[in-house]
Amino acid sequence: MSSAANKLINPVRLKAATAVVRACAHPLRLKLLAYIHGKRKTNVNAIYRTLKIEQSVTSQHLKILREANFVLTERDGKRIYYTVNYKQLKRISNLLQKYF
Amino acid sequence: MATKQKLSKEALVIKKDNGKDNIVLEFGKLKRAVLTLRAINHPLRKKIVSMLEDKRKMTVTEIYDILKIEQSVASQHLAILRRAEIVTTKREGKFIFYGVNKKRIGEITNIVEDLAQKE
Repeated sequence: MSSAANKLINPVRLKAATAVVRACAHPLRLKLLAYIHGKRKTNVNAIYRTLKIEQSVTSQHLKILREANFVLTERDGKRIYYTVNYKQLKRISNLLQKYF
Repeated sequence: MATKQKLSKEALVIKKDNGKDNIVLEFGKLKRAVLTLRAINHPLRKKIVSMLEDKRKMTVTEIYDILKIEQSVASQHLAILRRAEIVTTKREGKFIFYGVNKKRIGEITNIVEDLAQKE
């Protein structure tokens, strides 16, 4: 296909961009971000106990957030701690305000 | 450093100490962003956009004739593209012509490039 739109919008990057937006366009994942933000730093056990979500479900959603760069992880001994990646949230927030 | 947060059904609001640098994620806008990216990410709709870019304006009849698809299918995809503001419509007499919204396609390109960057 020779058109400008198809040349400009690279399919691989479109897929990556869609995954990022879809990662945060989800009520439970927004709730997870709000919770982690409130705690500043937390681990998966605290999250699922407080929010009363199954551990496997919590882990699944955290994985999606991590892959989309919305949360950062750090290991402390056996535990993995989650923090919010404000830079990525700010980026999405700016795009939403500007274009939608 | 962040201090307060508020989560309603409508938005995630992260407030910062200085009050200037608040981060707001409105759920409605997120949904629209998803719909916009999904609108362009479809083979048949990409074809429609390419055709409209080449021919500048077309009626729905021309579109479904060339693509050899049902009118209802063409209309459905055009509606998705119109809602995402990727195509525009213009009435001329008894015909409705579809065209591409070049400005919006340029914006979507910027959005995709920005989001696809790792850092």
